[in-house]
Order: sequence, then C-alpha cells, then structure tokens
Amino acid sequence: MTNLLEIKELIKRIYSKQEVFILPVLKFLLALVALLGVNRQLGYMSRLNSLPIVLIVALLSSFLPLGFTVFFSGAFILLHFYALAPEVALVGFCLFLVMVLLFFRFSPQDAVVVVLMPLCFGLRIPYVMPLAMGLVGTPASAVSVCCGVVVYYLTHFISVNANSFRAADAGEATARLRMVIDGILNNKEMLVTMAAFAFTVVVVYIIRRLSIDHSWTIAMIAGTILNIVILLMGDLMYDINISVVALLPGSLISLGLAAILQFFVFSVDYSRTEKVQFEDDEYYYYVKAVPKMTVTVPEKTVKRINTPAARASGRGENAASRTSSRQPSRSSKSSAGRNNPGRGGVPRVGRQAPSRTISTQNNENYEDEDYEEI
Amino acid sequence: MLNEERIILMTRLASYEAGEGKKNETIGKYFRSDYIGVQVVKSVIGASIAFVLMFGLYLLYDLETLMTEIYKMDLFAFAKNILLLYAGMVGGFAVLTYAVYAYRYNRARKSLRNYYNNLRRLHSLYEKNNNY
Repeated sequence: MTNLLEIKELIKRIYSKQEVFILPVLKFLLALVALLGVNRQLGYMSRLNSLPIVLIVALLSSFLPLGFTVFFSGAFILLHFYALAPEVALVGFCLFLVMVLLFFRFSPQDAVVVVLMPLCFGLRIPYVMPLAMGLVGTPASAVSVCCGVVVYYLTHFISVNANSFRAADAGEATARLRMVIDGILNNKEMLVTMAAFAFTVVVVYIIRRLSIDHSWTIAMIAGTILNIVILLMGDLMYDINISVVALLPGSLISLGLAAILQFFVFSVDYSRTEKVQFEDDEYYYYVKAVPKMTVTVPEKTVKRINTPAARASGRGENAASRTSSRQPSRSSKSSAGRNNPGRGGVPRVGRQAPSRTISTQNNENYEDEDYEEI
Repeated sequence: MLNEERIILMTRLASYEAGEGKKNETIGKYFRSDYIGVQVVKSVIGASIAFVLMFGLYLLYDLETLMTEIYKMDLFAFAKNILLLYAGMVGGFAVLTYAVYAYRYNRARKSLRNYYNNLRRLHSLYEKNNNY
C-alpha cells in the first residue's frame, strides 16, 4: 500500500511540474481516440477517414478547451451521417442541438462524458462511467451520462443499419427519417441502460456523500450491484437480450477501474503550479506558486516487552531491546490528518495544501504554512 | 521593503482573480434579479428552439398521416395541445433554471464577499506599513 501511495505522490509531483505538457498531450490523445473511434464505427465520408485530417483536428483539440473535442467529435459524426443520408444527419443535428440547448447549458464541463461514453461502450466497460460520475460529479451528471448513452446507441443503430439507409431511394426521405426516429425512440435497450446509469449515478453520489467510513468503496460496490440489478430487471421486463456473460465481467472490471481512478485521480488534489503577476506602488511581482509535496513517512514505534523473569534479574531492558530490534512494529497512524474518509486503516498521506513560493525581483523566497521554498 | 504577509495575500488574490474570481466577478456585476432573469430568458429561448426542432421532427415523422387527416382534424384542439406542451416544457425549464442560477448567484456572492474581505485586509496591511 505504501508503494501505491508513493506512486501516487510521484504522479502528482510529475503532473504538477509538467502540467503544461501533460494536459495538451492528454487532450490530444482523447481527441485522437474519439475521432478514430468515430471513423472506425461510421466512416462513410472518405475524406474524414484520412489520418492527416484526424491528426490535425486532434492537434487543434490539444490546445483548445475541452469543449472543442466534443464539438469536433459531434461534427465528425454529423458529417459521416450526411455522407450516408442527409435525413440521418438532420435527426442527429436536431438531437445534438437539443442536448446543447437543454442540458449542457447548465454544466458545459460535463459534455466530455458524451465523448467518453461511446469509447467506454467500445471497450465493453460502459459501467465505469456512471460510477465515475457518481464519485466526482453531482446528481446532474446523470443527464450527461444519459446523453452519452443516446449518442452511443444512435451511432450504433446507424452503423448497424447503414445498408438499409443506402438501399432506400432518394425519394424515400420520410421513410429514412422515420426509421432513424423509430430506431432511437423504440430502442428499449437504450432506455433501460439510461435508467440504470442514471440511478447508479444518483445512488453512488448519495452514498459517497454519507459520513461513514469507506463511503467511496461502499458507493462503488452498491452502484455496481444496482446497475447490474436494473439491467437484468430491464432485460426480464422488456426482453432486450442483455448478455449476462458480458455484463458481469464488464461490471467487475468497471468496479476495479473505478477503484483505481478513485485512488489515483479522484482523491488527489492535482494542484497546479500557478504563475501570477501583479504590482503595487513599489514593485512588480512575478510569482510562481508551486504545490507543496509531502509524503508522510510511517512512524516506527518500538514496543517494549518486559518479561517477569527478565525484570526480576534486572535485564529487562536488554531483552526488550533485542525483541524490538527483531520485530519492529509499524504504526499506520499519520499525523497529517484525513485525506479521504473512505480509506480507513491505510497509511495516510497528508492532503496537499495549495502552496506558493514567492520569488520577487530581489530573488527572495518566502514560505507560509501552505508554501514551500524552492 | 518587501512584506511577506502582503505578498502572500496578493498572490492568493491574484490567483483567485485569474481563476474562479473571473467568473464570479461577472456574476457579481448583476443584481440578483437581473442575473437570474437574463439566465431564465436565455433558457426560455433555448427551450423554445429545442421545442421547435422536436416539433419539426414530429411533423416530418408524421407528415403522411397529417397530410391525409388534416381536413378531419380538430385543428384548434391540436394547436391547444401543442401550446400546452410548449408551455409545460418551457415553464418547467424556466423553473429549473431559476433554481440553479439562484444557487449559483448566492455561491458567487459569498465567494466575492470573501475576496473583498481579503482586499480590505490587504489595504489595511498597506496602511499599517505606511504609518511605520
């Protein structure tokens, strides 16, 4: 466990130092994977399938805000739809616009879930998303997760029925339109999945907010079980043929992934190194605020064991020293306080207070209780 | 003469101004009713566009049936139903927007109050320094 905590600290240290490079690279990779995924599943417009275009758009996404990744992915999907049939693109456009106007107006930062959700479906682990959003988001994140489910099932439906759309004559525009809308509205599997994921997000959120020990772990396990139960109930009620063979391993892998994410990502304050500039009447200040890094070293306590015989002969001290040197006990208590209420019994690492090192024109360094000297 | 406490406070304030404060300051420029009102109007417009899109899709979806039955239909009842649906959707969305943005406004004001208190503290530090 200590090794894991040290790895976490190492990741944190690397991130805080190299954040300027790591974030664009991550954004680039997300955009690249998302666009390649769209092209692989749909791929009806040959021009968009070329790697240079995908790379250029992914590069653009790497230095633009995350919302642009969502925008580019949506644009790619619509262009592929248009190449297949304009009616499909029309329905897709209306659906995306309704999502933007009604749902993402409140929490634009959640829009990235719509990109991640189809990717997770592609990896057969969509169950990780409601768990993750329940852990880091709010109950409103259920809306984003549901939108992601809709986008996945829409693209899946279109890719499965692409030949039918191609085969229909140009004069059957209304028929194609009806086919798409029916495909969305009558998709019971999609509706059951949306209900299961929405409930999971809300339940995970409620449990992880409870002031009980291991609330995050309990929330993840309860969310996984609830998700499986609702999906199986939906399968029984609507006969939607959910594969139990895929559901159970997928859920367990998702639970494991959520636990890893919780340990390495969610419970860690990846404080950024900030650079601020200001001035007063006397000076210009160029300040670099560096997150303070602390790994709490587990305290070692020596337990003295005095046997009655040793005490009687006056050699107890020596005996105790020998015993303790052979069997040192390690205390799991940390003096740094609670980092995460959900991880009792684990050597804790102190919560990272945001820290700032002040460098002025005089090259002086200051440190307060949050700040460290570099 | 550099004052450590002052620099630390200024750094915190500058960091706030560069991040969360930027958004909160925009909110803080409005009166509560104006801010929430503007957001509700935006939501009503957004919901209206969404409704028009969905209604348009419905018309296209049911175009053949509508064309054949338009002479038999009670158009007033149809329009009334559509308007009721529209009012329900837009009204519900406006109420939701009101609740969300009232909460956000209160949170931003609280954060800004803290920021202004820190500014006052900084000002007093400067005054103290000048008196010496």
